[in-house]
Amino acid sequence: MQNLEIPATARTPAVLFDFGQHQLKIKGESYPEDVTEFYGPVFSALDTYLANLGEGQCRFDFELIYLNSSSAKAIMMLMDKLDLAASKGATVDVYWHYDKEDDTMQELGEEFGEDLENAKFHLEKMAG
Amino acid sequence: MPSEDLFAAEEGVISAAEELIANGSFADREDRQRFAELLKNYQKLFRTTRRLMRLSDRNEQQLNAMGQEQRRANEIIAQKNKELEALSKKLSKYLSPQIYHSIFTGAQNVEIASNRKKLTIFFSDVVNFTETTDKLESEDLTNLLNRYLTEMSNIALEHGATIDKYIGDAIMVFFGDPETKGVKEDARACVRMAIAMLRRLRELQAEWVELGAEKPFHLRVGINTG
Repeated sequence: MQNLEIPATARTPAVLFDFGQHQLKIKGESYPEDVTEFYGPVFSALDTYLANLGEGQCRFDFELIYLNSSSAKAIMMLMDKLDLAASKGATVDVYWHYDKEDDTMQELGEEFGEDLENAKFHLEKMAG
Repeated sequence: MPSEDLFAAEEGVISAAEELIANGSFADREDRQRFAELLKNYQKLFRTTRRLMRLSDRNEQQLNAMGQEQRRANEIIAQKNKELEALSKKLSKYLSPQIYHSIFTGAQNVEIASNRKKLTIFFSDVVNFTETTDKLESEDLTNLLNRYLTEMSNIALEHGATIDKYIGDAIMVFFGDPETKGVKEDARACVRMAIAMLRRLRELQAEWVELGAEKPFHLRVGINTG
């Protein structure tokens, strides 16, 4: 499966999906003008990947600095997809990286983690 | 309104549903399971709603804080600009208008640099100024000198000269930098200026004699282009 790489812009995060290595990452700020337009291809690629993951292993890193409400909903949908894959037997590790000064992103990560029933959640402080 | 009150109705629905699962009678186990699943989804949706509202409120708060910070920064910038303006106004009194203009419009850098240009230099000196004004009171002498230098400077500026310096009663100005009309025209303007200065000086004589100057003033002028 072809990797998905979307470079970051001022309003959208970088998407780095290395499907061969089973390492997926979203990094940066997220407040796109049209959230469905940006996250649509991300969801499609993830759906295809997870459908073929079976009982395989994958790691998803979220390194978000800022996100608006629509992006938060999109992130929750991503988490649901990962949790569903984990419920079907995949080993899914979700890493939520937050700036140590940013309580909002820390709390948000904690809440997202609480929603995961099958995927393993890790809350990590960003280095520096 | 506290957020608990804001979501009291939803909390009530969840409590009632939980109670129903604990005590209620369902047609069969499958119905009970479906109801429990529905409640689970409702609870998740409820958590999502609260989370998004909280995030939205926090983002708005941060935006407001940033707006306030921006306003404060703008006020500081405006204050600094005012101070800079006042300072440049003060500075303008010590610089020739042409030099001041060329520095403050950015046409000329404020740095020490050597530059060769063909200029027409004008130098004037009042003959025996000290002896002529010897008996004047110091205030009168200051007034006289101020008046003289102001009048001469105005004439110089009218003719496009750049004032270089004053040395007591002596005046040094030049033509050709930073503005020039060409070497010849600069030299002609300088001569026209010198004639205008001499004429004006004659007009000022009467005034000064009245102030107490013993002899009429004579001006010596030197002009050179090179």
